[in-house]
Amino acid sequence: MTTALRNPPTSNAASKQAATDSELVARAKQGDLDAYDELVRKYQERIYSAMYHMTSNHEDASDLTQESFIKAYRALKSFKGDSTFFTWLYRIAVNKAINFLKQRKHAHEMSLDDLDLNAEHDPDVIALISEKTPRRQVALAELQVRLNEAMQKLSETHRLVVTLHDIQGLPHEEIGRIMKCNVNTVRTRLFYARQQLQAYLSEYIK
Amino acid sequence: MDGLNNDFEKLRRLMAIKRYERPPAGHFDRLANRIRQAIEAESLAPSATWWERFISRFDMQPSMAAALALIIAAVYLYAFIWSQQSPPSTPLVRYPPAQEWVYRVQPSGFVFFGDPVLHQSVPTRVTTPARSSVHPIIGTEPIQGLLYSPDNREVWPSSFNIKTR
Repeated sequence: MTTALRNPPTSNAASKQAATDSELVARAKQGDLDAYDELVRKYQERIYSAMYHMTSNHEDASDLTQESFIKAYRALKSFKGDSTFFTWLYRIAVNKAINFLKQRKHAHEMSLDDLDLNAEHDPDVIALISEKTPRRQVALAELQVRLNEAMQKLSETHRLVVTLHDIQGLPHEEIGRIMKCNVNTVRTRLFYARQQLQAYLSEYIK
Repeated sequence: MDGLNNDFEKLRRLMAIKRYERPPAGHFDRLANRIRQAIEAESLAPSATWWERFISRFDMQPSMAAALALIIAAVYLYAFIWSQQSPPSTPLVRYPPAQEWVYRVQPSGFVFFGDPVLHQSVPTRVTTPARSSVHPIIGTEPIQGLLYSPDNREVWPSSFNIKTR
């Protein structure tokens, strides 16, 4: 998942991907469930990841991912191909997540996924925690909780831009297409979201 | 803005941790299977009603939901304004026409209210016409002997003084 998220598709790769996607979509529209299953397996990690970072809850993220794919399947006939399938699917998932979060006004329990063991070897992460404590795993787990708490303090739109850009690595233009707003709006939202996060996590950023 | 974004370098490193959060092994296989099973079950189920299909469109296009809400609000507003501007030409509640009544003071002092035709034979001291749409139920004086009767102690008023000597 990390590799896919860190390396967003280049224009060539994206066009190839889009060609494959459009074929799969065309087959799925005719009722070919195998074709749709292929699309599910291709994008479920990214959709799940977006839902997870928006909710900080594994179960909610899984349910939202499932509902988004089902909703997309139902609406497949209305997909005209004006955008890529990826963008269209993301838009459905993001709308679902925002609606869900608006309804979930009460305090909720976080249900966090485990950290991959590779996290301990990431130079960025090592630089952050090596000075704090030699018990690296404990420090990482604590940091993960604090990060998720800080994310949940952001508004839905601010959380979304941070998720899509800073965690999933999507370019501003793609985020603009998903959120149906211009690039400058994306940049501005990202700036304010980061500013708030920096304030919430000030003790870790010195 | 880009210059300012450089100040977020440490935050960017911190956020790197979130990229390593992973669901349990095998989760995505199970999720894909669940999605397929749900779609297959839905395909076998009877198709959604027109209302369900209509509502499901809102998830895709929230702007459409907002537009529909605006239209409904406008229709309600128009209906309210229209109802205020054109009152109904005929009254909804009809009252019986006013009827002429008279009250008559009988020689005994008793005041009688009633229909002048039916009670012509009643001897009166004063006859004053009055208009009313309801049957009057009051008089100016109590019925003679009702509250004062020297022979009947049971109807003596409470302020009545009994002389013992």
